[in-house]
Amino acid sequence: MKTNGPLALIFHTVFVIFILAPLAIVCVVAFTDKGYLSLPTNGPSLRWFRAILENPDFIDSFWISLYLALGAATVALAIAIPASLAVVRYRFPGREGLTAFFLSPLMIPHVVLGVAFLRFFTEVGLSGTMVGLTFTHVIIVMPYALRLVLAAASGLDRDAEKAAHSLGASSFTVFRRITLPLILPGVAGGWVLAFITSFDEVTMTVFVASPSTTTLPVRMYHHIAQTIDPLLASISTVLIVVTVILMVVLDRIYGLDKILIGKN
Amino acid sequence: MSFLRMEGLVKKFGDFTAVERVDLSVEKGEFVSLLGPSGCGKTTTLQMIAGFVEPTEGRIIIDGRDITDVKANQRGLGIVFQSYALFPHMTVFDNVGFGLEMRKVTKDERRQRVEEALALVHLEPFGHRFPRELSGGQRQRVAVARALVIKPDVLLLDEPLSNLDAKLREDMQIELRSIQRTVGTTTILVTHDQAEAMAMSDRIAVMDQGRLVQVGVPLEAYEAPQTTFVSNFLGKTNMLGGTIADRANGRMRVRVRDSVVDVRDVDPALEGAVNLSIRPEKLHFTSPAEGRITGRVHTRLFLGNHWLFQVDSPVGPLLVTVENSGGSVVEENEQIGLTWKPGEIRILPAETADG
Amino acid sequence: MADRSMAKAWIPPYLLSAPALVLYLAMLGVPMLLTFILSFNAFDFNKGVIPIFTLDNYIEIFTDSYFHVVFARTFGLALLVTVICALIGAPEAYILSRMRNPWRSFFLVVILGPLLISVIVRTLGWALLIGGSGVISTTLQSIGLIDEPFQLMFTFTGMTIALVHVLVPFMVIAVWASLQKLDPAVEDAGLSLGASQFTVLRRIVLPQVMPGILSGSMIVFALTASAFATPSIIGGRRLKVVATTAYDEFLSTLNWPLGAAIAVVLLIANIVIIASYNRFIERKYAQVFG
Ligand SMILES: Nc1ncnc2c1ncn2[C@@H]1O[C@H](COP(=O)(O)OP(=O)(O)OP(=O)(O)O)[C@@H](O)[C@H]1O
Ligand SMILES: [Mg+2]
Repeated sequence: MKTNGPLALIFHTVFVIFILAPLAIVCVVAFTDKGYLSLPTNGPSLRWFRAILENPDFIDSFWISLYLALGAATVALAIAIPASLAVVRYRFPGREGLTAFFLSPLMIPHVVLGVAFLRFFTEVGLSGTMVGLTFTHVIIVMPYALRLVLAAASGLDRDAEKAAHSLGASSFTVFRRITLPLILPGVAGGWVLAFITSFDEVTMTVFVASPSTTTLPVRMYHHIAQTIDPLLASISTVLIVVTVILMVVLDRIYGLDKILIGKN
Repeated sequence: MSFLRMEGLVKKFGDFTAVERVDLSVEKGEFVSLLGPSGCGKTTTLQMIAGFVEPTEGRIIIDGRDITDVKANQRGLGIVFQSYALFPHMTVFDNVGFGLEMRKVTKDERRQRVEEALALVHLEPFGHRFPRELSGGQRQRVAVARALVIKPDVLLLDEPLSNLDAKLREDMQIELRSIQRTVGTTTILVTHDQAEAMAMSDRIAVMDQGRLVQVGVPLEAYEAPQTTFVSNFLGKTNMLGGTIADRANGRMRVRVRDSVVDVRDVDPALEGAVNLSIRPEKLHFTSPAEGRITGRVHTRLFLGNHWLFQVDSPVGPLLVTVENSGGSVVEENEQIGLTWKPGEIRILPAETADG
Repeated sequence: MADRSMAKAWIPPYLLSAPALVLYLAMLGVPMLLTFILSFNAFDFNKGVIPIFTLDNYIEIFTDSYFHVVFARTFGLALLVTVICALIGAPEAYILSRMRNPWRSFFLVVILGPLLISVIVRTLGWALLIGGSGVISTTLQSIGLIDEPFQLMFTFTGMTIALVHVLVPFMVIAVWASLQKLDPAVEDAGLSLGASQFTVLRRIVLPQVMPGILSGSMIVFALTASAFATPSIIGGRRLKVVATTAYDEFLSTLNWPLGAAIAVVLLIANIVIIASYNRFIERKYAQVFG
């Protein structure tokens, strides 16, 4: 059995502290009782968590982000599943090109996408609409969804489908009873990754969000640009806690490393 | 009128012909093996019967009905895949019941028929398990039960045993054969294992490069191979290339290297270059003086139930097998004579030597 | 493998991908094209965008030293962050791979998990740590190590640290993936032939995970070059990078054509760098790793 030497363990410890320190400090500062940024020297206070409830802007933005992420992830999956099946199952002219095209948003800086969507929306009159915003997010999260669904679909046992077919199942029944359940882990993983990516997106959204469609990260960004106060820390803490819970759940049902790293 | 007929089946992938004019008739209840080396088109042929590959030419007829254009899910055939293709997200019970569900069989009848099918393959206690909780041999039997429970007209098996270890494979051969006898389903087995084909089938159909080269009962195909390819493919054989020196009175003398071998003249059409084939178990040791030819034992291997010798002889190296009866046998480097019974050398035309 | 439906027609794949294709053409193709066109338009502070064809925006970007500084800062930052990520991410991945479960899975989640937490939150964390009234500064002051408040906010160093934190998980993922392909026996084989642990690392492990490091570097580089939120919050108004410059042209100065031109240059620079880097990696490793 290979083991790590003491030097390696020291390096590892420093690395993990480096990774966790900024997140930890956010959580600690959130419990301050002062009106400004400081450590909770007089014991933890929930003052800034109560303050979240008194800021309806942030609450509204949270709901906008939530609906946006739900919508974008769902639409992305709805189009990613048939597209993946097409790419995995058939050899047809333009197959590679199509895959590259579907994955291309990964190569485009989000600022560029933001610029492009802003220009597009002012031209076609979609500015400030939730529908428009949702579709921009579909473009951004689609590659993540597609990659997981593609991996699941290409690992699919085609013989199982043939077997079902030979036992008398129609094409639709085969899809519903065999194909979909078998790629479900990939689909679920893809959906969650798409959801989180959409929920966290700020760079592109900052260009196209209107006052009525300001997402939570965008509102936080604008707030930071003005002032950094403990309110941001408490909101961030809530986000961190929710993400960690989500992560644990995901890890239980699917394996976090599978989602983040792919099949291994 | 035979039950399943393939008439002039051809499959081309682009300009590559995977299957070339296969004609084969199978009787009701018969067990036929498609046997041939890797890539000879066995799977493609089977998939055409199953309906997963569309024939370029030809027809498939089952029980007088032309099913060439019938969809795979309407053909009502049972298929066992090499990978078993069990549905990993369903229990054994649901796997086996799937085909019945598709046929809208009522729940009660379904339960009863699934249980019967599981009993047939000795898996009654495993209904609630998932495929990943079964051993290889058990999975294989689930696949068989799933294919048989729909009472298919024809059962198609594509190398169903190749994922099992040698011992289990032999057990499953016996079990599969006895299940097939019990239910009496017409069966086509694809395999590249000649021993398996010979052990299980009523008839074997040997394929080479997309064509059927010989169809017959196993003993006949083994004892009377019609081509050099079949002779080589079915069991071990010594293949000696030679030319006909002269022939008279129903006998002919064939020159092999520097020696002359005297054989029966069976086929007047034979001329010039020929191949002589003699199976290792048909050669017997004698004293040097009594042998038809003499030689020297080069290597001797003990293989449990028999001995295998490699003998250097004037006609080239020869393999000889001798059953192990517990007694002593010839030693390495011993000078020996070899003999065979008249008629045990097959003479085959050399030009069919392919593959 | 072939099946009937496929032999019959080439229509199904196009039908299946049609929804995605239509959406992409409408929501990606058209906007990108509009942006490209916009970058060739002119701008006037009173009249706004003037739809004529001009190369002025590009000429301005390529001649104005202000933009030279911004582009140099951006790509310099990207290079620095990439090198640091490789130097700390690759060893960490290797250490992780030598850990036993459950520690291995646990720390993998700890290190990769932050990817799922908003960049804003993570950047905020750094702002709290390294600001003038931040934790590091006040702690160091209170224990008397420094007298002046110590300020990394609005500095290049601060930006680098925060971006390394944001992006190093990608490097760990890439190296981890290539470590997974490594046959564990090769290290033992190296040791059995008399190599020291260090030699095994340098001569046997490193060459095999190099493709992982290189592909991780590509991701980190591209993401740093186009990073927006972190440079904007930590770098502030003074230390502008390409992304924040484009943002300001669009939403403060309202010079959209110039902003679009900056975006186009960023996109093309990104693609050129990624493509040539890819080509380089492929040429270098094609023979070994096929
Ligand atoms: N979809 C396809 N496209 C092109 N060629 C194919 C296709 N399917 C099979 N072939 C070719 O047809 C030939 C016969 O294939 P087939 O799968 O029937 O062989 P097989 O006899 O079953 O071999 P094995 O014992 O290895 O399974 C092979 O040369 C194969 O490469
Ligand atoms: Mg085959």
